[in-house]
Parts: sequence; C-alpha cells; structure tokens
Amino acid sequence: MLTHEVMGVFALGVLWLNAVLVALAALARARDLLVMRAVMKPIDPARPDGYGVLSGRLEALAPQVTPGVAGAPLAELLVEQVGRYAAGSKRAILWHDRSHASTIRASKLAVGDQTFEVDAASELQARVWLDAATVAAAAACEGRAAFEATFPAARKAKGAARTVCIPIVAGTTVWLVADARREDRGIVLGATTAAPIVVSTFDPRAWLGRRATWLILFAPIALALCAGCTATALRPPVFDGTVSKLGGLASFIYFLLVLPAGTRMRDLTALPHTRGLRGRWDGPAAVAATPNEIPKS
Amino acid sequence: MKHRAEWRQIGIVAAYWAVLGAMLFAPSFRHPVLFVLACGLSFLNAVVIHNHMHQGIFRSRAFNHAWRRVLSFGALYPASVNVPAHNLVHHHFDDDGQPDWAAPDQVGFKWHLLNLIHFPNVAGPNTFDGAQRWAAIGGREEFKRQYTWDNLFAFGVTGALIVHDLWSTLFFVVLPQLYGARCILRINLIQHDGCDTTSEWNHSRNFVGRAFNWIMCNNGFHTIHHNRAGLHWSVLAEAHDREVKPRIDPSLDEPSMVAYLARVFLLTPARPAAKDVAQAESGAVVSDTPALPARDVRWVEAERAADLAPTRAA
Repeated sequence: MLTHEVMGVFALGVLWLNAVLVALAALARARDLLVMRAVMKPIDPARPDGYGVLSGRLEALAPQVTPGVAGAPLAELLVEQVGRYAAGSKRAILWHDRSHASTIRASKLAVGDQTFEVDAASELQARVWLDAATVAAAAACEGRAAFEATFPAARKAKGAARTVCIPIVAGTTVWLVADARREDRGIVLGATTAAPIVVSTFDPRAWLGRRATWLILFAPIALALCAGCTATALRPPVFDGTVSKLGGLASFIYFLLVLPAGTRMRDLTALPHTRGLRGRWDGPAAVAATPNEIPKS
Repeated sequence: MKHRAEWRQIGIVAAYWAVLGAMLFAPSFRHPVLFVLACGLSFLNAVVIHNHMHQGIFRSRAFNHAWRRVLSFGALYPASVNVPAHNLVHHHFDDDGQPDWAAPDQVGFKWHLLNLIHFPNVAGPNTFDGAQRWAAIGGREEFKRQYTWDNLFAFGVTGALIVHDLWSTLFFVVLPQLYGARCILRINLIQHDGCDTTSEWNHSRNFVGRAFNWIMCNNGFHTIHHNRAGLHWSVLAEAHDREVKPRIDPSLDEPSMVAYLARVFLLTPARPAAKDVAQAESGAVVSDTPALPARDVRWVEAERAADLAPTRAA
C-alpha cells in the first residue's frame, strides 16, 4: 500500500530532481557565458594577434562627405516588431519581437595613437551589443503623432510592422571582440568562420561575468529554498503538525514557482543582440505631448 | 455529441476521475498499480484536452465549455491555454517570428535523458508566459474569460480538496495531475526532436502502433494532425497511410513509443545527431492527394476552428 511516508519520499524525490535540474540548467548557462568571456581575452594594442577584445573609438573609413551631417551608422541593432492593440478600455499598442539582427559595416577602430581596420561582417557573424536602456529609449513612443499614425494599423489583423534600428555612429567608444590578423593593409579586425565579431557599447567581459554570477548565485538560492521547504515539511509531527502541513503546501508552491524563476533567469541573461525588446505604447492620455504637438484652440 | 468515437474520450476521463476519487477518499485503494494507472490516465486526460481544443466533442457550446473545466481539473492547467500554445503557435512552429514555446532546442543537456525530464520545466513557463502576452491583445476577451474560468475551476477544486485533506490530495491527486500535464509537454520533445520543422511533411515523428493509437486516440499520427488540424482524430490513421507515408523519412515512422523512448533516452546517453529527413519529401511522387494549403491559410483555418478573431491575413 502507498502510505503517506512512501508517497512523501516519492514527492520529495520529484521535487528535488526538478529543483536540481533547474539549478543545473542555470549553472550550464553560467558556464557557457564564462567560456564566452574566457575567449574574449584582452588584445594588446601594441601586438594585436588572435581573437579577443579591444576598446577604442569607432571611426568611419572615409571622412564625412557633408560636414555636420551624421554618416551611415557603422553598426546597427535591428529589431523587427509587430504591434497590436491592447485589450481593455485604454488605447495602447503592445509590441512583439519578430526577429533580431545585427549589421557591422567596414570601419576603423582608434586605440590610443593606433588605428585598426574593421572588416564588415555578414548578418550571421555580426553581433551588436547595446545596453537595455538605450534600446528601450529607441523603441519608445515619440509622441502623440507617432501613436496616432500607428494605432489604426495595430487594430488590423496584420498588426503594425516596424523595425527599431539602434545605430552606433562614428566617434562612439566601443569594445570590439574580433580576430586580429595581419594583412597587406595592416592589422585587420574581423570575424572568423568559427567566431563572430561583437561591437559593444559596454565592456562585454564585465557584462558576461555579472550575468554568470547571477546564474551561479541563483542555483544555490533555488536549492536552499527547496531545502527550507523540505525541512519545514519534515518537522515533527510529520504529516500531522501545522508546520509540517505548511511545509507541504510551501513545497507545492515552490515547485510551481521555481520553474518560471528558471526561465526568467534565462531571459535575464540572454545575450544583448537577441534580448527581448517587446514594449508598450500607451495612448495619448498617457503620452506626454511635446509643446508643438498640442493643438491650438 | 458529434462523433460516436468521443465515448472513448469520455470513458478515459470518467475512469481517471474514478481512480482519483477512489485513492483520495478510500485509503484501501492506495495501491501502486492504481497510482500508476492514475498517472497514465492523467496523461490521456491531457490528450483529450488536445483533441477537444481542436474540435469540441459536443454540439452544444455550453457543454464544450463545461467539459473544458472538467479536463482542466484533471491536468491542473487551463485547457484553453492549448488555443494559443498548441493550435496557433505549436502547429506552425512559430510565434509570429519567434520560436515555438515548446521547441525541442529549449533544452540542451548533453545527457539526453535529462532533457526529457527537464523539458516541461522550460516549456511550461514559456507556455504560460506566452499565453499571457497573447491574451493581452485586444479581441481575445472571450479566450481570457474561458482561461480564467478554467483556472478557477482547476485550482478551486484542487484547493478545496487540499483544505479537506492536504497530504492525500498532494499525493493522490496533485502528483497524477502534474504527471499528465508534464508528459503532454514532453510529447513535443519526443515528436519533434531531430525532425525538420521547416519542412512540410518531415516535421514530426509518428508512433504508428495500433494498440498504442487506440489508447492514445490516434495521437501517434502527428504529421497528418499538424498538416490537417481540422481532421477528426478518428480518421487520422487512414490519412497518415494515404498522405504521409509516401513523403516521410521511414525513420520518423516509429512502430513503438516505448521502444523509441528506451532506445533514445535510456540506451543512448547523447542526443541523436540531426539527419536531413526532409529529403524524403522532395522525391516523393504523390498524385491522388489534395495539395497542402499554405501555412498562413492553415493558420487562419485553425483560428476559425477555435472560434477566434483572426490575427493574421491569409
């Protein structure tokens, strides 16, 4: 017969097996990020050689044709989105990411008094890393006119399509992760068949280290909470005491919550060029109108 | 009822409720065999959810909604979630440009058995997160209502049972409920891992054993179900022989799911290497079957079958 004792051991086994798997998945992701970080060895600008990271100022290959007018972006993150109107009485548009792409054009990287050529990269080899706040700002509603122009399409079945482009322009300080190789034209930075080229507006090594730390901390915290629930459920008198019953209930709730916590950690540590953008535009009542947009009465 | 064959599904659910009730209220029925049976029936309850959310089994809309509640309790998840998660996103392997919420590559342990165990831990939260975002869009209020009622019934009844007897409910009701809910998610890994989801006929693995499909209400015939979601489950075997067999890589027609699980997850530690299964359909000569409509057209048909407002132009 299946007594409560037998079933308790079985249920705890199920609970622990899944908690350990969630923790292991987080640790495996942390390992991947740390491996990526280890590959990004700092490149010595005096003797650039091999795959690694260099920080400098990104410059156009040729001088600007029209002084004072910004040239084409040297790198770009492109997020293709579709917007659909939100449920409820308030007018709003909810954005859904369809695809993420990065482009890197040929440019130069100025490091101190040295300059290195940067090769253009195909979409498959290019990664543009921008901080979340910059990307969110680029995707935000520009005002009442932008909302009103988009909302009718968002009401239709197809939705309102748009591409959010966040450029990196000449003069920006970047961290470039690339392969440094000597060619006839000098030292060239580019992708290899096995490794991509990353243009980042923040230190990618520090970013990867921080995200790996979050994941490494998540694993023991998840397991400690599981241990806490287990200990509470096993507090004598087991099965009959109020504390034990609360522990049983807490274990069930823990099981339901640790799984989304695991996927949340995955999303929080997604690489910046594929990180979900999504977003919401609220209708005019909530959008602060700029002075020239306020209709004259 | 629309089809006589639905009695099989009603029988499965009635048997499931009977076993759960017996174990919960009569301790003398708490036998390992009955517990295993409850877990198996819970999985079949989730299969019935799948079939019912494609085609309601009753002619009456009210009966169909009530049946959703009954099924939701059996699986401890809202049956309505199948509409966005399965009918719309999974059937097209695409969330409007983003991956299917239950795509096999969401798990990546080197030891493939761990992927099988862990898969619901990822696909489950993906599904509920995706469904919440899907429901937040205008025009889906009826879905939200159904989803809320399903949840209230499933968790309400389970909660009431917990108040009545915490431990017996957790052990003899919640464990089988979770087993079924998690196994139906695992089916996504089992039926699509190593397949080519960009192809028209080699995106799914089929399990074609006759006894297995009798119990599983023909859910082993997965390719034809994906391609012609409007077909009733009772006619899938013939449609599979007629339309799928000439176009599918033979390795995707497995005679036995048990043998497949043992071979792939127990006897081989590593995940099987990918193979170009889609080649099989390029050379297939099939003249007497209707052409497959474009994916967008199938999307619209699926929405119509589920009584949804269109989200995509055909």
